[in-house]
Parts: sequence; structure tokens; C-alpha cells
Amino acid sequence: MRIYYASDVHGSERLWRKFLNSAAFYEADVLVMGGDLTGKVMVPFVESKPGTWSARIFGKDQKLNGEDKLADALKSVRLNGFYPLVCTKDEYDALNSDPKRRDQTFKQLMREELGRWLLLANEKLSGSGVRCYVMPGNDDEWDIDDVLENAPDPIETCEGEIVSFDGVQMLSSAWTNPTPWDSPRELPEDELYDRLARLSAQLDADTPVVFNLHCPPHDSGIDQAPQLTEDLRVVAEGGEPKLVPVGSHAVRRLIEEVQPLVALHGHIHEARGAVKIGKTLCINPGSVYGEGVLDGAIVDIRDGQAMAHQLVSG
Amino acid sequence: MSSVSRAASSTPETFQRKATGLVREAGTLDVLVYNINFVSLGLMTALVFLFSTAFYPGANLYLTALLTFLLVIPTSLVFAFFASAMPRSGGDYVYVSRTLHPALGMMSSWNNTVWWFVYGGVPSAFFAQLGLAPFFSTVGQMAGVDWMTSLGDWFLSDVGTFVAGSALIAGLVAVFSRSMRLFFRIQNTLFFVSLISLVLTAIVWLVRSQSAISASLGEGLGEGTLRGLGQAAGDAGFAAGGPFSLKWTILAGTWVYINLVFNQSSAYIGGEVKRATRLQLWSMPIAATIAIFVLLVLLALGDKAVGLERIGQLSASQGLLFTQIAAFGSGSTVIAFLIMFCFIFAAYTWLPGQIANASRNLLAYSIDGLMPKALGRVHPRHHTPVNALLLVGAGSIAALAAFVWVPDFATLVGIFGFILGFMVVSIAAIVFPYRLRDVFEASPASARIGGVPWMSIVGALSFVALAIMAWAFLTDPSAGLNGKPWLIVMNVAIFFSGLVIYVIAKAVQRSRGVDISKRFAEIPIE
Repeated sequence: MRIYYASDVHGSERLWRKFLNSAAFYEADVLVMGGDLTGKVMVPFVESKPGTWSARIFGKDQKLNGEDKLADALKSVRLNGFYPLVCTKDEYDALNSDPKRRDQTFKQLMREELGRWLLLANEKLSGSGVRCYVMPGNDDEWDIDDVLENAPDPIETCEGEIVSFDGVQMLSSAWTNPTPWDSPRELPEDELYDRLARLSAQLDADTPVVFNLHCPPHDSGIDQAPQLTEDLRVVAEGGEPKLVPVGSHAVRRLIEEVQPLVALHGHIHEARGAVKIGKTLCINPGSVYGEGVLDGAIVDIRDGQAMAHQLVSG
Repeated sequence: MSSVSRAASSTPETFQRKATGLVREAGTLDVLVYNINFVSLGLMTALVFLFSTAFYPGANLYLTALLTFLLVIPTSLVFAFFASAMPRSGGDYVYVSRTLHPALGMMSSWNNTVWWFVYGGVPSAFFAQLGLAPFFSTVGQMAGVDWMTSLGDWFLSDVGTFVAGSALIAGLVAVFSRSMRLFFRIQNTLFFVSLISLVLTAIVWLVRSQSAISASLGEGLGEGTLRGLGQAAGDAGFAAGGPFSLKWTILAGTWVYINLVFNQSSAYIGGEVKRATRLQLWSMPIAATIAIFVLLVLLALGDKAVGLERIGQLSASQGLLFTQIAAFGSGSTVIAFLIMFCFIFAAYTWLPGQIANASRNLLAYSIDGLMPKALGRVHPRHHTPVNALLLVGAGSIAALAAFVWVPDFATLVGIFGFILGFMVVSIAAIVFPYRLRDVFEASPASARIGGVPWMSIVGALSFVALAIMAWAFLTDPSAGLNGKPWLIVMNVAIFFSGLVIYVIAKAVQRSRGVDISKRFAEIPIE
């Protein structure tokens, strides 16, 4: 059985489409999307006069004349991880002056775009025999959970659950230890450990285990992120960002206690790698979503053993 | 969601929600220092004064510096464009793999890695030959301290050079095994210390008259040395001066180029924080510009204070560094001590980056299944690639032995190999806007002129510039390749050896059920 794991696509439709095609491309039986699905930027397309829209796309001011040009631009923006919003000047001004309205609009766009992604998944994977597990990450708003829960076949959401396939059981959790950004799914280390331990208590002792934990284990080498000052400025040493371990102690403790076959992680984009903690192969494929490249990991499991793994950039 | 931010503007602004990973980027100054450090201002100046002033008849060294700068800039921009389009990827391995083919990426990258190994021997020898030996000899001579002069002579000997260089390599590997970043923090400080040497040299040449410097040189070196300088230089092969020659003006640039072309080293630094801003885009060419400006200033000051021809004669006949000429010319033992001591930290500056980049590449190959897993072993506490570092250290010491004891192994023999690798990256730059159109369009490198992407134009210019420099290195008698076909064959063989490794690794991994050709293959989106 081959698992393909990727994470942290952050709203990039290009990466989502690649993820859906990865099963055929890498001959994978199971797809796992490990969280942080939603984007960070909304791009207004303001209709300045009938049939003409202006927008700032990739840092450049653009004027789009005609529906075709608009459609191309909307597609390009979506593919690159941004949410397009077509609106009038009055609507834009209202968004500009009202933070609450901006928040609501952003959330609505997230839900709509994710819904569209899931329908796309249904079209691509339905009938293929591929199982596809998707969960949110710490960065995803709570508003998207019901969209995931109502996902069409063969998408299954797995956050906070143990799911079984091909003789293994997979424990999944979107939660992380605290970050400087105070994202929606963060817990202090002790509470995070309690949450994970409660879940792991449900594991079957005789069935091989795979962890799908968004947050990597602390000081594992796959949790190295730039150190930040209080105002979120990167600390540099010798011209390079100073990297420090930011993974979770709770996650590490759970891995050391349970010793799953494989632990799949995301969250820290720059800490791509594979390391062993005891008998567990811990993998973080990293993320370069901004470059349109889907970083992922292929893991082959046979006879209850992790036989081979490979980090890939598609 | 706690907040969505916006910026006021007459055009519609994007709205950004508060989310993880949104940070302020590292200072451009840091990246500039890193790149200038790789240019090795001190070494570049030393090699130009030591060789370009002495063995290139009819060369105009000011024009040499400017022409070489113009030939470097397109290649510098190629890396700058790539670094801004793929800010987290770092280095030609990924650029070429994604744009052309994984096998070509391996070939290009492996070529660089091998030469970084081999070039470990050169700067580690320079540590003794251009750093320690001149320091002890000059200060010993001026202060009348015999043991210092003797120690200087020993560092110049084959054994002394090998021992000092090996100790430096071993020390660097030991430090890197604990923390690469700590070293670079120290090295950046030492970079500024080494600048003191250049600044004092400039001040001596600026404030002292030609006659005063000549008198002090006479005192330091002995009047007889200066009187017979022309004859001695001629005997040593001094060939500068004479009518202007464009050919020799270009060829003299080989000593500038070998330093200046590495201004793109920050391309190898990964990290999401290196965001694709336009300022970042220009940090590499700016580093080259600063470096060439400093060289031009020092050339002008040396010309005014001593005369470039005389400096060439002193270099050819006495093997004197420009810093020694300034140190002796200062007439002050204290100033001489400062100039020569601070220059020790400029003498080996290629080495740390070479060890760091080579070991990073070995680690990447191992992670990608192209090299044995053991090379990818990372120290559990320090997170450093210890096995890769040990291998690079051992390879560098072997290269040092070759540099010391194999006469054909000259300073410049490997730059031809680097040029072949840069040519592949330039080809990748030409086609990048067409093969990875969306990545290109979304990057700050997406500018066009007359509908043609600047990146493609710069890639083509870089390829032409590299071809000119390949000719220069093959033609320059001082480069060590001219008339030695086996060295050219070695360069070409190393260039293609990455392909062989790729094919072998592919077969080995296939037997384990892993297809490494998928490592960088792009998944279709439709």
C-alpha cells in the first residue's frame, strides 16, 4: 500500500489539483492532506466601469477589459493561492472601511472555494478506488469544518479521529502548540498532550499505526523555523535566518510512547526532511505553495512495515 | 479570524488575513554581506595585484575590472531572477531540475559540489601562503624578529602550507558540526576585520607620497632589491606594460572573475523568509557592484602611490602581496602589523562557504536518494550534516595535498568546470518563463521588454558571457588549462559525472521500489 502525503497548500488551487492527480502520478492508494488548506489573501476585482475591472495581482496594478480577461485573471489568482472577489466600487469601499465585513467576506470565500475544491475531488477521484483523507490545520478557521464534514465521496475528513485502511490505523490531529500568530487550533503543550493521549487510547494495540499530526515533534530537525522577534521580524545570523526548533513537546512525547510506523507532519514549511524517533519514521515534506510546487512524501507500507519512503516535489 | 489587514491606496488593495508564517523578511544588509563575503574582496584584490599586474602585456586593468564586471552581471542576474522566482528553493540543483530535467539538475549541481571539494584545497593553501606567511615574514622583517621571519618561511613551505591548511579545514569542519550559523556570525565579524586591512592599505597609498613609499619599501626590502627590480621581474616572467591589448585586458580578468562570479551565493540560502522582493532581486548584482568599485579604488590608489607596473614587478620578482607593499610602504611596524594580521582573515574566505555548500548539497542528494543514506545523517542535537561535513573535510584535505604537491593543479583550473555548470543554469533561465509560465508570471522577475521576458534575455547574455570567459580561461597561460588537455578533459568529465551518478542511483532506487525521476517531476494540474 502506498500513501501520498502533502500538507499546507494554503489556498493554492494549483496545488490542490496536483494533490488530486498525485494518486495516479505516484501510483498511490491513499492520499492524505495534512491541513492548512485555506489561503491568506483576498484579491478584490473592482468593476470600475461596465466590463472593466481593476485589481492588484501579484503586486502589479492591472486593468481587465472584458469577461474573458477577467476569467483568465480569476483563474490565475486562484491557482496561485489567493481568493478572488469580484465586486463593485461601493462594495469594495464598504470592505475597506469595515473590518468585520472583510472578515465575514473572507470566511465566506474560504467556504465557497473549499466547497468547489471538494467537488473537484469528487470528479477526479470518484470510482478510482483511491481513498482520500483531508483534515484542517491550525491555520484553518473553524468555519470550514462543516464544509469538510459534508464532503462528497471519496473525501473523508479525519481530524480528531482514528481511521483504518489496508491493515493500518491512522490517528489524525490538526492541533499545534502555540504559535506567534495565535491561530485557531492551538493549545498549550499539556492540554495538547491530553487531547492526543485521549485519542491514542482508542488505538488498537495489534494494528500498525500511522500518525497524521499537523504539528511536528519538538527538536526533531523537521521542526526548524526562523526565530522571530516580538514584532515578527526574522532573526538573522551570518546573513541567514536563525532557525530554532518550534515543534511540539506533546507530539514528540506521544510518538516516543506509541512508536507508530510512520508520523506524517506539516506546519513548518521550511523544515523538509525525514528523521527517526526511536522506531518511528517522522516525515515533514515541507511546503513551497507560493512557488506552485506541491511538496509531498510517498510512503510504502507492506506487511506492517514502512518499506520505503521518498520526498517529492511535484 | 482575528483580523484582516489592508493598505490604503487608490487602486484596489489585496486583503490579508492574520495567518501563520507571515513575517517580516531578514535585512537586505545581511544578504549583501553574505554575498560580498563570497566575492572575497581581499582575495580578489590580492590575486589581481599579484598576477594581473604582472603577466598580461598591454592589459588596462581598469578596463579589465569593468569588462569582467559586465561579464559577471548577467550570470549574477540569472541567479537573482531564479532566487526571486523560487525563493525557498536555493541553488542550481532545484532551478535546473524543475526547469529542464532532474538528471541535468544533478549534473549541474554535482559539478559544483565536486569543484567545491576540490577548491577546498586552494583557499586552505592561501591561508598559509597569503595569510600567515606574509604576516609573519613582513612583521618579522620590519620588527627584526627572526623567529617570525623563519615561521613565515615555514608557512610558505609545502609542509607548512599543508599543515596550516589541514588544521584550518579540520577546525572549520569541527565548528560546522556544532553550528554552521555560529561560524557565519563569527565570519561576518571577521569579514569586517579583514576590511581593516584594505582600508589601511588604501589610507597608506592615499596619504603617503610615492617617494616616501619608495623609500620605506627600500628600507624594508633592501635598496638592492629595488635597484635590480626590473631585471629580477623580467627573469621571473614579468610581461606587463606595452601597447594596449584588448585580448590581454580580457584575459587579465580571469583573476577578477574567479572571485566576482560567486556573488550569487545567497541563492543557496533557502527559507521562506527570503521573500521575493525586488530589493532581494538586486542584492546579488549590488554585491558585485560594491566589490568591483572597491577593486577600482584600490587599483587607482596603488597606481598613484606605487605604480601598477612597479607593483607587478614586485609581485613577479618577490611574490609580494599588495598588502605587503602597503605594509612595507607605510614605514610603520604597527600599521604593517594591522594590515597583515587583518588580511589573514581575508586569505581563506572561499573555504567556509565551499564546505557549507558542498555539505548541504550532499545532504540534499542523500535525502533525494541520489547518495547513500549515511551522508544524510544529521546530528541529533546540533542538526548538522556530520557525515557530509566529514566527507567534505577529507576531500578538501586531499585537494590541498594536490594543490601543494601536484604542479599542474593551479588556482584557476576548476573555474572552467564551474562555468560549464553556470551555462546550464543560464539555459534554464532562458526557457524558465516558457516552461514554468505560472511561477514566472507570479514572480517579481516577470518583467518583459518588447514581449520578451527579461529573464530569457539575461539568460542568453549570461550564456554568451560565460562562453567568453570559458575562452579566457582556456587561453590565459596563467589559468593552468592552456596546453594541458588532460585538465580540460577532467573538467568535462566531472561535468558529466553527475549524469552517471543519477543513472546509477535511479537503478538502485528502482530496485527498492522508488522512482527518483519523480523527485522533481511536475504533477499535471488538469
